[in-house]
Amino acid sequence: MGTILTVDDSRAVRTIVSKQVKELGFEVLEAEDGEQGLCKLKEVVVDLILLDVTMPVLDGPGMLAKLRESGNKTPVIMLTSESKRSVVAGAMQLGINDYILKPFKPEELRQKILGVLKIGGADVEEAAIVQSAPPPVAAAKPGEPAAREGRQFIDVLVVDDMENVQKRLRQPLPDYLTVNGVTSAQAAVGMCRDHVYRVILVDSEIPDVSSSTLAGQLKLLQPHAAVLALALRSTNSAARELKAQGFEEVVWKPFTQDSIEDFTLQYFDNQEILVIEDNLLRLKPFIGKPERMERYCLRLAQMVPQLMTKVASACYETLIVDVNQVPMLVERVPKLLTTICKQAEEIGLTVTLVGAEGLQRVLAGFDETKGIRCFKSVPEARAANG
Amino acid sequence: MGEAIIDRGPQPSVSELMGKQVEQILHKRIAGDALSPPTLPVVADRIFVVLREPGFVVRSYAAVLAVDPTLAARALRQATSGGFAGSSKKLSLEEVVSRLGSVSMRRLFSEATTLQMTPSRDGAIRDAVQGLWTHAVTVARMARDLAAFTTVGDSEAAYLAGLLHDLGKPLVAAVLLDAERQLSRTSKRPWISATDWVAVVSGVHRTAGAALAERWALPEGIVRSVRDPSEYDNSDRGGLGNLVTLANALAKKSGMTVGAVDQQDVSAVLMIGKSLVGVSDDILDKVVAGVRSQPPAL
Repeated sequence: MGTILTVDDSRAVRTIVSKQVKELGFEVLEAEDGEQGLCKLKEVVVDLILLDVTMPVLDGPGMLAKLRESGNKTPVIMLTSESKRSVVAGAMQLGINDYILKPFKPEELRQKILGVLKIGGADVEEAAIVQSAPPPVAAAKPGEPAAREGRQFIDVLVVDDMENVQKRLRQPLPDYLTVNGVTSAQAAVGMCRDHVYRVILVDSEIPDVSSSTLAGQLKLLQPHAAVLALALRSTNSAARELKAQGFEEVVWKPFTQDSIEDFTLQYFDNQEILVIEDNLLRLKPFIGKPERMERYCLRLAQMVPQLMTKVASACYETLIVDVNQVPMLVERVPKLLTTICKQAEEIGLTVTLVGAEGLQRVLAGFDETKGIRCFKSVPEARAANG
Repeated sequence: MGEAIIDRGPQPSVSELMGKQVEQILHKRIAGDALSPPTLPVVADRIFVVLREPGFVVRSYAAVLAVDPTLAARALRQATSGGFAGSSKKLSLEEVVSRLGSVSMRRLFSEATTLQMTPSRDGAIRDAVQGLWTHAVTVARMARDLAAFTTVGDSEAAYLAGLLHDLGKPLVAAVLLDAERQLSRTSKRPWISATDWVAVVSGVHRTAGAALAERWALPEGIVRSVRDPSEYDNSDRGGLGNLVTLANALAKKSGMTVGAVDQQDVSAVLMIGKSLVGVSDDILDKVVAGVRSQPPAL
């Protein structure tokens, strides 16, 4: 992979560094001081030098100066217990690429070596770990941090010093939403470093914590998340005040079915509404107030054509649409299915439906849908389509 | 025979001469416990609002202290003296307010409103004064966020340490503004330039701030930050002082400061700090973005 020269008068440090560098797949050369280091460099070309500052015979800055005078531009990481800024500033002028203070963690050495050599090894390895782990409960949208950084995606983080709050919120939320709960600011920051959240709910009255400050910090760590306040409806101006403190919205305590429905629809409306598996489209259940059914159907009608194109692109001839979880409202579902069938026909797909017993009866009542084949289960539909 | 030429060496600049005078004034006042740093008018306005509030809301009082280093230092001094002397607990501003209680806080705030800074007639100096406060609050916020993101140290205690790291600057500014006010009464001579004004503040504030922090027996971590926030203490990697040093360098690197900046020096402090505190470039970017998205407002 490459060669790294470690220059340090401490045998113990050289041994530790060599072990860790070898684990990264590099060859290692050792030198006890700057003079020895320069001699080694006359014999071999290395990819990186790990250089101590204080050494006998010729110290780190002395070796670095001679190295650069000779025109050698090998990257250098200063690895030292010296933290005086004048020393480091001088070394920076001579062209060091990074700095590690002793004692150091193996992870820091690894990251900085890979960083200076611009090797994406760390990312590749971490990505492999994520792929072998169980899949996240909810998939992040393309381009969202979870996809980029391999962190676990969670829907909701609740930050409230009262543990009961997260339990009370969990109960009315749909099962497919994942929820984390913490009772302290420190734990919240820790969770936000390790996960990616879609919505963060922060109690507006956590003892000894400025909720607005905490919200700001969490927002920095989770720029894609909506950060909302959890508050008691105390005064008419409470919502305005909390928004002025930087919260996007307020969720009032104690929770009501209506408020949770509103919350779910506002922040998770676009989730799990439609799932595609090969040539099977599963329409997910409608959640919310009946008056929002129209909006749900409209969104389905907008989303289906995009997914249909994928099915056709994969050379399937039949599109199986599973509407088992969709409430069979006579005035809406046939209209939706009519739209889907027309769109399918335009790109050369035949539609087969999977739904409850009453489905065929309902569809038979309309000219546009009476010809659609209907099955009770997905295996039956698949078998019928060969 | 011609006259003998005597080489007197380089003559001291205006800022050096004035700096010496200001330094003497401040050290004399500090030693005599006769220092009453005035408050910015905008802070005094906030104090009036809080004093008019019914009841004693700790957060409201702490929010005012959070934008005024000298007022915060005075409160901290009281909160760490008397029965609390010797306590090693690192305090947040809310804890300071809670310790002092309603009566002491109201008295402190009432006193603060009686002594307000006179704004300079020079717009550039007025901007510089504003910049000193903004830098203090910026460093405080950055130190707090660094503490939170790295779980090194207590974030609210880091805020207070960051706020006070340039404690000497408002002291020097107050003396200069007072001198300008007095001069304007008796003379029509122009006052020093904004560049010299900033040079005086930069040249004197460190020793004045350290003298005051020591005299007021502020907590050791804060005294260290005030004395020299440009060097790390690698025997205490998670210490508040180190967070403030890193935050101060980050604010300077991001242009959130007043006066000239030695970029090479600041880059070195940042490079050391990243390893010493254990923080990635990604976190530093987030901290800067946080301040930029909501700039400190007095």
